[in-house]
Amino acid sequence: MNYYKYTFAVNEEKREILLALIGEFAFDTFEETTETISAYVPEKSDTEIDPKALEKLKQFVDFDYEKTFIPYQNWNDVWESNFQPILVDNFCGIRADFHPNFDKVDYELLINPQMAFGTGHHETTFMMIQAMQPLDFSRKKVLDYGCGTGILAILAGMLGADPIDAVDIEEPSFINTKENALLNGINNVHSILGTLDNITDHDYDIILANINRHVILDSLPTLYQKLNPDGTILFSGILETDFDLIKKALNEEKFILKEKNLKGNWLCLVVTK
Amino acid sequence: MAKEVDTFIKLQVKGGAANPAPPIGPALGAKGVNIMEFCKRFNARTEDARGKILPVVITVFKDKSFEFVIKTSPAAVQLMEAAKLKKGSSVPNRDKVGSVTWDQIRAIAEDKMADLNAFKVESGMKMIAGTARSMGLTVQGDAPWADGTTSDDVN
Repeated sequence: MNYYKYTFAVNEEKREILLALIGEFAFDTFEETTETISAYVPEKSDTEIDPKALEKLKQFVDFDYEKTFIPYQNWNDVWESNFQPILVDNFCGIRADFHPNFDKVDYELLINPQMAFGTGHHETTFMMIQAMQPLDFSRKKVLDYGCGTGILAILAGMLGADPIDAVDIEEPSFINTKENALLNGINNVHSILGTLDNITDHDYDIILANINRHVILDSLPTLYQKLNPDGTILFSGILETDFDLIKKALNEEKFILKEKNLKGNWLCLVVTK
Repeated sequence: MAKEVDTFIKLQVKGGAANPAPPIGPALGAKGVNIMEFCKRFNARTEDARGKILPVVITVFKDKSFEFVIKTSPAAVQLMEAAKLKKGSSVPNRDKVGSVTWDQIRAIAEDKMADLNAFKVESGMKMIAGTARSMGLTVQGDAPWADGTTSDDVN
């Protein structure tokens, strides 16, 4: 994603006030130096930043600012180019194409992450893969919601699922899912750029949702509609401290919590209708 | 044995809004840290403060692992949040003057006492009230101390 950087030159004493004032705009991250505050905004949100509204702030704080364009680049390249392969029980091994093959593993996935989440290293992905192991994916219709690298959709494909929709709001994830599916010879993963609103299909047998609390809570009614009566959803991306909140929301939507797994302070939930 | 620290990175990130983009991307990426993991962890930890500016100090270790600590928001940011709560709006109208109450000022002063270089909560409250006025917010009601002074420079 391209970004804009606004660099505000401001007196140190007034910096905190300016930070609070510009915090009301669409900037998502801020960095302070001894003489400036840099505020960052995604290119798509930059139109929400009204230069006239910024100028009005000068009634409270004296400042100047300049705006520079920061083109997209893969900032995660260093980690991605030398990460360690990972084994989830002896069920699934995940490696990049520059790693040697695993000696003994049921399913071997090649994942070359390109600014997308999901290599199996994180507790949430690890538990999602573990929770997928006992499920029957053969000829099952699957939705991977927040697919990242496409790791879970690709594994579903290896386990016999068909068809498979994989959706992510981030463009690098949309592209990376296609790349990784190709790398693994899985040709029935349909990569979709967007949100749940872009998924017009229904009747999914299995939904894989490793996202975050906010998105999961907002999506529960829609996910309920999209799941087959005897279907299963695997949720992760939720912290243990959020369990009561999630459990209450699941109950309200008439979901049935079948299993709760914990790794580190992260949860993975197995849920049915 | 304690892990060897490579560097500390200090940023201010809105709750739930960490992205693998500048400034997080270049700062962590150059150190070989998995940025995606940081974003996942930060966003999960800050779900309850979505959209609020949060100072975060990230410790990067030589083995490319990391830890982070989320600090309390600057007083001015807390004042802005307090003014929004009072108006019941997520986006305050910048053409109108917002307001905060003395109870809100007290809560912020108590939260920021360590940073305020003040010995008494009342002194801290006066400083916070001064910051509020500097950013166009009015403080409603009389000051909750005997002489009713609301001067900003009393310490």
